[in-house]
Amino acid sequence: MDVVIENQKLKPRLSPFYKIALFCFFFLTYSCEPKKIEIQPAFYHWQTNLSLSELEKKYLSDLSIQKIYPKFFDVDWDFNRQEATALATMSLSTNLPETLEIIPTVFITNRTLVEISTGQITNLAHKIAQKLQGQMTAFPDQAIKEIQFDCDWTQSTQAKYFDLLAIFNKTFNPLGIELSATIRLHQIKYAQKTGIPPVNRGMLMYYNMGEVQKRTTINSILDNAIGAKYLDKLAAYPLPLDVALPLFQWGVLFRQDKMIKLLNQLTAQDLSDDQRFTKIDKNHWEVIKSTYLNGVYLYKNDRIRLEKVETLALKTATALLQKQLKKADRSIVFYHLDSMVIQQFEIAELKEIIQQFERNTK
Amino acid sequence: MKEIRNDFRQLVTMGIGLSCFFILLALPTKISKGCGPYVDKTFYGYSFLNPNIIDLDAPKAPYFAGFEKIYKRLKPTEDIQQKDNLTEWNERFCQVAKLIDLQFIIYKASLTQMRRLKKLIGQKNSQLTGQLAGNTFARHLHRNKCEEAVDYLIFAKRCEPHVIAGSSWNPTQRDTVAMQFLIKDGLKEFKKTKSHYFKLRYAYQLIRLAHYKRDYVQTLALYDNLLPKTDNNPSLIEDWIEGHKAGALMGLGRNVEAAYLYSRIFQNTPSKRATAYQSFTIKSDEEWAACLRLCQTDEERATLYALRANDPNSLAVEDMEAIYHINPKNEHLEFLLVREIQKLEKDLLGADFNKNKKNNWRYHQIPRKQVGKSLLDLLKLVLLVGEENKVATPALWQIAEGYLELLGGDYYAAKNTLGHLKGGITDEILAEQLEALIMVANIDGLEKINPEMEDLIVSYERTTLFTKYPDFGKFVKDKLAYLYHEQGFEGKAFLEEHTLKELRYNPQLGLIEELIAICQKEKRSRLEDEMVLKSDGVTTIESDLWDLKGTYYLGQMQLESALEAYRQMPRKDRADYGLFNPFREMPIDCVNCRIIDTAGYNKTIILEQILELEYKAKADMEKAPAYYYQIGNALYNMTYFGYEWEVADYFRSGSSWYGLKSGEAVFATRGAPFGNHETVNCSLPLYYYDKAFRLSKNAELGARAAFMAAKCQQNQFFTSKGSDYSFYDNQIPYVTAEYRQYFNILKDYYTETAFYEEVVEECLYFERYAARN
Repeated sequence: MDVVIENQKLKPRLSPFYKIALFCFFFLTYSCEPKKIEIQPAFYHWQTNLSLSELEKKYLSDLSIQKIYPKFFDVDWDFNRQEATALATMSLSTNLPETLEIIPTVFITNRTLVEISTGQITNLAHKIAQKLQGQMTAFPDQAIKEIQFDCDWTQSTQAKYFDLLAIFNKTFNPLGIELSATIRLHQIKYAQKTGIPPVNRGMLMYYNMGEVQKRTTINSILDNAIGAKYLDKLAAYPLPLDVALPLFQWGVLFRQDKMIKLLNQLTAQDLSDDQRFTKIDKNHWEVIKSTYLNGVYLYKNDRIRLEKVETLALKTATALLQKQLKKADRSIVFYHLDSMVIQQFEIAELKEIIQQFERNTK
Repeated sequence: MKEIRNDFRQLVTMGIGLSCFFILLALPTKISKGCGPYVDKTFYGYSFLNPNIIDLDAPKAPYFAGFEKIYKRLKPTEDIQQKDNLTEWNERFCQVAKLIDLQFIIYKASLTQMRRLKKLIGQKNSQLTGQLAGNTFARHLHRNKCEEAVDYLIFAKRCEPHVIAGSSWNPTQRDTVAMQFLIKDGLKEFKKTKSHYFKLRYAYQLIRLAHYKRDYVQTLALYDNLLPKTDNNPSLIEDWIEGHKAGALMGLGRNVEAAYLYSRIFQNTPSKRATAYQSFTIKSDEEWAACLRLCQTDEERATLYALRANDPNSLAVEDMEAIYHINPKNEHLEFLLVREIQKLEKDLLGADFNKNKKNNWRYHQIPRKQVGKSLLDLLKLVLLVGEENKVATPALWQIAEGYLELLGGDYYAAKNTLGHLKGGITDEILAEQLEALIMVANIDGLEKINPEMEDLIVSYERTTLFTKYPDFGKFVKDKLAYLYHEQGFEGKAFLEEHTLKELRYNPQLGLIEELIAICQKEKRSRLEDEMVLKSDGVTTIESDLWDLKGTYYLGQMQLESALEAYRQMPRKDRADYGLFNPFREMPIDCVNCRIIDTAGYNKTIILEQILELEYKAKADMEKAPAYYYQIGNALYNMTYFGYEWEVADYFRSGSSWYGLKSGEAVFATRGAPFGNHETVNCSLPLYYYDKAFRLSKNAELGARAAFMAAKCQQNQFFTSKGSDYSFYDNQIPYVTAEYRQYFNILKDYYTETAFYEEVVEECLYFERYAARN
């Protein structure tokens, strides 16, 4: 109240010049005040059945996760029918808390875009949109504010993919739903060639950055030395960016020096039987007796490179990203919510990563 | 005269204007960016195995080609299933109905139609109407009052909506309550039905319903309850039922039993083979051992090994050995043998001379690093089979032995093994396969090439085998190219790998001379004839080669050598290589501005005229500047920057602009084995413009010569290594002092000329340059 009286008193004494000066002072003072930047932690959910285990629920709760990105389905090319097909449709068998935001995610293989004709794009867009809308009815308690499309598009498939996204924009934006698209590191570095997708936000996927097929690769999931090379143009990227970080691990199977397949979520424990496997070095094992391992038949002399993400590497990644990212609100999304995956990390370790993002952006 | 001068002034003005406009505006937008290096990532190799040496229509044929390929060759699984089902119905009904009528009743007729049929069967003296009236199967059912059959079909049609998959975009939502009601109804029908054949079909419908509603316990219960109550002749329905049982077992986590059932379905049921293969899963060594224990016959055990070996990345010899020890006559063995040889073919056949070997390794990791071991492992098994002589088709294994020796590079042993088999094989297809492989061994085994060998190759090319096995063509070409390279016959090697047209991008003197020598040979080998004779079988490519040689020298601005080459060409052919007129004064750098209103000359005449102008210049000092200016124009117009660039080149790429500042004259271009050479060197025209300018007493001619010389220098600046001029952003070239001498001369000494005024007025960059200095 006193202040008001004082101001009233001041009023007649102020000349126009002082008024302007005062206005500028307050304006500048207000605009210079650092804006609080919000980091929203989240998880991808990549399983075909959305059913949360107790451990998964605990991670969501302890990390104050308020949104998840469940993959609703894949879109791949059916070479027999010569048409795009929906695969791995997610089913829901759990009740999600109302407060948990859902961001439906659709993975579209690049080969679908390679094979499909430009004339079929509109039809495909309608099919995807219809399927998405059908699946979204399974979440009556959640307000859907964003839909994400995941595709490792290239220069040659850019036009078709962007046409697809443009149609989704027309379909979903009027419903108040924003679109986001995943952005690979090479799409940041060579943005001029690969283009900027017509979406509201991008999700920088800071993983799968090494050449997994190469025998000499150390860790294709997360290698900050490689990642750093792609980040110099990050600040100039025109879309607001969220960041996806990896938590998963896998074994890369080599037979006669050729990469054969990935053994998902393989651990050192799986390779501990010295009657069948021998450890060559820190992350390489050799099969010494032909054997089955998690449903895959391995031959004597096969080699396995175990690739996992260390907490320290995640911290380094965070620091690298912080240096280059624009200061803005964003989500930090861990890939992915699966007991087998998350149990490799302490909740405190993940909290630290989130806090590291928060610290540096304030 | 004044009019002519005015016309000339007008032309020059227009020319300068266009020139500047071109440089400042059109050039960066007109020239496209480079196409970039083209990489063919598809695997390139050779195969000489005739797919028919094993029976591709045999049930296990997918082993040979892999399921992905076989799907394309065979009809979809649903079609096979439908065909098998119709065949069985037809047999059960003693083939009284046409297949198409059976198909209509079983797969297309509506529930209403079937209910009407049922009603009509129950009525005395009833007549079939509509589509049913003309249907032989419906008539049979009606005439013989086959109520059980019609009841079953009605029930099956009631089940149908609950078991269709729907599209992947809109999968069917199962109504499990309705399905359960149907199961109840079906059980009543099952009890009521007397025919064991229809009992079995009811059992199938019920088990399928339970499986589709994901009640796996009920599926197995129905199986255990209903099947013992059927006593029918063998039917494919039993195999279909087994598939649902296997699915239910898998759903309940009884993986071993499921895998065993799937292996049996794979073995016995063609229509379900692909899905059984995809569903067959073993998770651990313990499961594998348990699955083997479930097998009741050697055939079943062998099938398990075959299923495992069928993985595209398997090292199949291990499983082949197991199959061989179980049953040497097992049919899987031969499919696997052929598939393994095919893999080794990709790795080893022609590996030395495969022209795509770098990309094969880079994109496909072929040849496999330890392929030698794979070869030896398979050869060891093949030798064992040969010794024991227990297999179904010994000749196939004997041929395999010879071919493996060939793939291992032991040509002597291969020829020996294959040669010994000749005449001893009665099977026509295998005998032909043997012939083909002997031919492969003879070609692959060549160490040197000489006229006799060349004639031998031509004789091979004319055999029917050569065309029947499509890879012979590229195999021979690549092998010959390799040998020619080895022996230094680069011209012949080039023609094995490329067409003569591809040499035009960047003519190579050595190759051209070698090929000219072949054209001029009195006695050529038959292969050499194939190389140098045109389609009429008489004319050689010699004139083409002289033109290539002349063009090569023109591209190097070696005029005398070029003329010498052209003079070797018969006069009658000279006009075939283009008519041009490079002598026009054309200050416009417009590469597509062909002059069509003047007479054209062949290249020989152009060169003779240039040399004559030089002679005349030396003889007449007064007119020398004009002659030198003309020579300068002719030469400038033949360069990359001139409108008659085709005199000295066959192919000009706009994208080469972007590479000029590399200082190179050869640029990577798709389809150009030696790159694309551009005539970018302006030294010789500059030399003549300089002479014209220095000797000229006429200020206007001097100004023009100086301007053209300045353009030559500017081009030299563009093509100098490290030039910082960028064509991307319309910048006005800032020519460094080193390349600015003639601009300075023009500015310092010719400001009073009409030409200079026009230059300053029309040429923006010169105006700015003049203002800057």
